[in-house]
Amino acid sequence: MKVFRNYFKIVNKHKFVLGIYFVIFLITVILIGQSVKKESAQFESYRPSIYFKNESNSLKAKKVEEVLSEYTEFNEEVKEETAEDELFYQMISAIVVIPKDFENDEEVVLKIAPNSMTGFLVSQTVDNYLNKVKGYEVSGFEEERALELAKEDIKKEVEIGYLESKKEKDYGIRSYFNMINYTIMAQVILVVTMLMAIYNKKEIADRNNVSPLSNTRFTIEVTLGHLVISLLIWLSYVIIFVVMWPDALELETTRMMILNSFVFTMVIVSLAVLISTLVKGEGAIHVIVNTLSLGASFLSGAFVPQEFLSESVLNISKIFPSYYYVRNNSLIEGGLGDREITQNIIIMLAFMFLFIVTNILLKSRKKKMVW
Amino acid sequence: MFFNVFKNSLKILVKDKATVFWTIIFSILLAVMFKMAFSKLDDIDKFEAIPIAVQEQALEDEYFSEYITTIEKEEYINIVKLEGKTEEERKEEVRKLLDEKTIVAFIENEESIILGEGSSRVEETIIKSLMDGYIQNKSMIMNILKENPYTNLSDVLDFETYVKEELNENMSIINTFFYTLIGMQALYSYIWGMRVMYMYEANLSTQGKRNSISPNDKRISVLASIFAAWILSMLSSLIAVSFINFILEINIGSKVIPILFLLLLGTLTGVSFGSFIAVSNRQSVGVKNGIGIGVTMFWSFLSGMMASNVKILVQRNAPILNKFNPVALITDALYSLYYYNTYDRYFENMIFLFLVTVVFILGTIFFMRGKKYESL
Repeated sequence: MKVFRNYFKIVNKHKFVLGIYFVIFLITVILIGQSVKKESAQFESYRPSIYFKNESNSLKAKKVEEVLSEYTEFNEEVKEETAEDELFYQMISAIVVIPKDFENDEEVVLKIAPNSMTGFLVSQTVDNYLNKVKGYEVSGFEEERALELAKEDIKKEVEIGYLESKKEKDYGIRSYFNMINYTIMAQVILVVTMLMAIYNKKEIADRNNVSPLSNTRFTIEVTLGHLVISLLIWLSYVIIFVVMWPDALELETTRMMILNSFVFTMVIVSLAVLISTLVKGEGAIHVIVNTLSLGASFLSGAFVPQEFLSESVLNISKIFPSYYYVRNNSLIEGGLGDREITQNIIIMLAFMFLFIVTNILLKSRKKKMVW
Repeated sequence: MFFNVFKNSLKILVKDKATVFWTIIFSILLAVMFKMAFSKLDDIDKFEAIPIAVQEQALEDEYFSEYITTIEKEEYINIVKLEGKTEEERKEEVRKLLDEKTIVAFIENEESIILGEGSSRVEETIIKSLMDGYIQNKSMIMNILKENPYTNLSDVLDFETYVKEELNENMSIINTFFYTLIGMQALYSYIWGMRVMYMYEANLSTQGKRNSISPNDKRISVLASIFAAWILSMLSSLIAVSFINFILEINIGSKVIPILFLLLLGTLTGVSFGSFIAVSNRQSVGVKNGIGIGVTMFWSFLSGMMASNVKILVQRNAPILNKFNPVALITDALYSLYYYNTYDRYFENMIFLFLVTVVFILGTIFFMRGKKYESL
């Protein structure tokens, strides 16, 4: 297995570049995975994250603050200087300020994005409470009693039911597996094409052609090398996942997403080998790695969820295996469409078959041209 | 001599197709993909009437019916009428509507609602909040009538708003992705910077060998070539920004002069970054290219290119990181020109960007001086 052993010597020689990419992608997926939350199996009202400032000493202002703290989340990490940025980047839904003269004007200043749903929730909370306080006051109740009674009233809630039992969702898992679409594509294509560029150099290719090792044996050993290195890349992301979410391994959804990512990795290996046949030159390799991996990831919903992409974009993205991989992650998380999941896996395998056949045809055409 | 070297360097650099691709076409391709992928991003939080269905029997209560009609008129909800004739048919119809997400909730009666699976939690909370409003108002009225049976209820139910909304219409999060793209594109000028250094480093190219033994003042030659690289980078940035602003119609803002100065400095940062990578280590050309791409991608990621919230997370937890991240500085400068009326933040970013550029330039000079080779 000389070629196979030599393959890893070449990988070792390029460990610096490959290492940089690996570390960068690692930090990327860890940061992305940290930023998404779980959703429980019980209904939980959405509590918009806000920046809150109370400049008034009045009792009414204090009560409004108490009410808002129960129905929204006061984001302690947000400072006054950074609140506008956080609002623009949608990290908070509103900037709420109770001004000094609230006792006279009874106006709460609210900064939200135009026509924002989450901003509406915040303004509705304030209006709902203060209108009840006003209702009690015009009926002759004293302010203090009106404030307390209004607070009691707003605790009344309708009953929430579901047709079937709601499943617990961990959006962190899906985000993680969607993100590794980009990192696996970029790394696998980079490694495979970089190594094939070395084997395809004229001097090295000529030497290999006259060696006693048959072309078939050579191809098998190199392909084995590609598979092993790609599996190692895939495995590293699975290990990172297990470290970050150790409890998640018990969920069936997790195991299915791991399997989905394994199939996707195998498809990308075949794509990478095809690209290495088509593309020569190290400069061009970097072009392809970044254009393809970023482009496919953006269009297929790896970064922005597919629910938020337009129909036409999704239709275009169906030419990438990434679309079916990301779609499967959504279906697996939602516990829906076993049939569609299987269909998508078959489509990904069909892509792999297509890439392999195209590669074989291209290579045999090249040999005929040489002879 | 300066002008000759400048002219020749321009000709050499323009003929490098791969570099032209990276610095112009790659950015334009990505910009087109962003435009396609992010076209609905601003609508994620946009308020639209939420579709629900209501049990027919629940509407037999005139007060509840009036409440539902009022909130429908104010376009908080949109009622989807059930067509089933029997109880069983309507139940099945509701299940189907919830599964297909045609409706977000089914109102069974004034005290209970049924939610579907996989709907937006925000929409569910709004529906719950609106339905809570009815029973809360009922509770309030009952409390009032217990104490004061002769209260004028129309005064009690005369609701007004206590919220003064301050809206800034310039709030499109899509723009931030394009700002990071412009920042990344400016930093991709590193390729021009590296190409120039390959022309003068004897261990990196034959041309480098020739230039290192030529009698010409190396400082003037390098400066002229760097200047040529900077001009080309600036042109590439202008093409990319013009494409984004005029063809894709992304609003960069109308402050043209500050944007031009920003691009001038940003591209110089890119060129100096490239020259720094080229001379600061003894790795092969391939490795240096890899470092350039990898680091630029990482800077772009920290600036929020793949997930916009990353920039804010960095700002919260490690703000110093993005003070020395050129892509983040360019992104933030563009954002501040677009969103704010003052220039304080813009100037702050320009100062940090200038400092980063100076570090790269000084680093390049440091590594270039006094190089000697025993053999090549």
